[in-house]
Amino acid sequence: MLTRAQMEQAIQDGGSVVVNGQILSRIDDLPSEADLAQGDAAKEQAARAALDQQIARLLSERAKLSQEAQPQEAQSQPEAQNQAQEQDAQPAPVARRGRAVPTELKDETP
Amino acid sequence: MPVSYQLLQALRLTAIMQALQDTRELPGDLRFLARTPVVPATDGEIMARFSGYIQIADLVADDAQAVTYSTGKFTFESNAVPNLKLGVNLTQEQINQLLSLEAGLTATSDNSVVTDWRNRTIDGLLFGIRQRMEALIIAMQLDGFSYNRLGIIMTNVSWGMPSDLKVTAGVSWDTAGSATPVADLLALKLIAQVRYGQVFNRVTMSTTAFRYMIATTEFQNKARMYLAPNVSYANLPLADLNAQQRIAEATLGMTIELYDSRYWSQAPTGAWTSAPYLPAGKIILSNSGDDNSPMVMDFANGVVTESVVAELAGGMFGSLGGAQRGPIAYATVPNDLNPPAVTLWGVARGFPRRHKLQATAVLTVGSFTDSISVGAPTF
Repeated sequence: MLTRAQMEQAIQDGGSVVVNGQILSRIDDLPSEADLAQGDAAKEQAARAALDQQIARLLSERAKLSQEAQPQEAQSQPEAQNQAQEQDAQPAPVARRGRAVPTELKDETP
Repeated sequence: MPVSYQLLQALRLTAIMQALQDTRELPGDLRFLARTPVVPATDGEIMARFSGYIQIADLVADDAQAVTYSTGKFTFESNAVPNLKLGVNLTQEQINQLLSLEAGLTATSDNSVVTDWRNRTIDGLLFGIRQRMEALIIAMQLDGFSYNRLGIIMTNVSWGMPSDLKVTAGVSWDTAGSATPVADLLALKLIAQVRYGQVFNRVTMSTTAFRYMIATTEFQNKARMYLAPNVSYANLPLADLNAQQRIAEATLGMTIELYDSRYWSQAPTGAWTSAPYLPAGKIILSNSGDDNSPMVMDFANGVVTESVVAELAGGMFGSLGGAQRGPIAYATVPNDLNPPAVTLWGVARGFPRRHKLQATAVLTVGSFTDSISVGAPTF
């Protein structure tokens, strides 16, 4: 049985592959490595190892994303504290004649 | 007379016979060339291929404007015609040997031995040209041609065959337990018939591929219905190719022809190698009704440039009589006869063209070579 890589190469060379009586002309339609390995212990082991490598690679890529997100969260905390202090330092709104100013009024501009 | 030639004084040479050789390495029939019309052509011929659809009409109310749609499109194909050429150099030593043979002959009719040798050489040159035409036509039907020799490099030349008619078997046919040759061939025949309206009734393959096919479990199970009730494939000799061919033709519903012809080529180092026109692992599906139809395929045959300029060149024997289409042969000698040698040439100018893109399909069934080794017999 051709490997999936060989099947992909045959399609990329401008041809098709026939598997189980069905002619496949698109790479997306090809059976996966796991499908091709079924029934053969050695091929299943090799396919399992290849998939495990893919999983490990993807997990390491994902781990990079988590590390990059942490510094941004650490920075946002001091900024929030500074904003709270600045708001506290602002003078209270001056009451106009005959008009009460609610003390809860806050500047909601971002 | 030199010592080595003294034997010729006593020996009366009456015939030249072919030495024992693997028959597959002898010049075989050029089957595909015989089915392809050779048509006159010129350089830069432009062919247009129209692609478009016939569209259903719209309903249009009174006083309303109908909608127009874009028509199909033309794609243009132009061929540059290459030269096919082959020469044989008759050295001074060989000329002297021929003269010695002639001197040893007495009757006038015996001189035909030398004349026959010269004619055979010219025939061999023209056959070599036709062999290259055969190889090119088969490459066209396989939709793949690669050539790398003497400075000319062509890689994966295609004639535009649809990709689903160029199929590779998922399981190589030399895997008897799991290969599915019948399913592979019938799947290809089905898609050609349903999608392209092309019916295949002939399968051309090598003897090696055929032997692998009949040895598979799938084939033997499906061929079982064409055997007598009390006969199984265990009772049949697989080496009886004629009987196996009849069973296979009934199973596939297509004529099977076995094609093992080969050609020789010489490397710049001088080493000779033979190769099959049709690789052992390639199978061509075709329709016998398309044979010799110029509407399907042809070999564009151009005017040989040598015939145009022959009148201007010195050192040529005789005259070619003006512009001619090949294959033709001619002979030349050096003007200064230094050294005195004769060169015989065969030349043509052409390239195969494919007009009906779905005319053939190709199935690649493995990368194996001949199961019975090819080569000179050992004694």
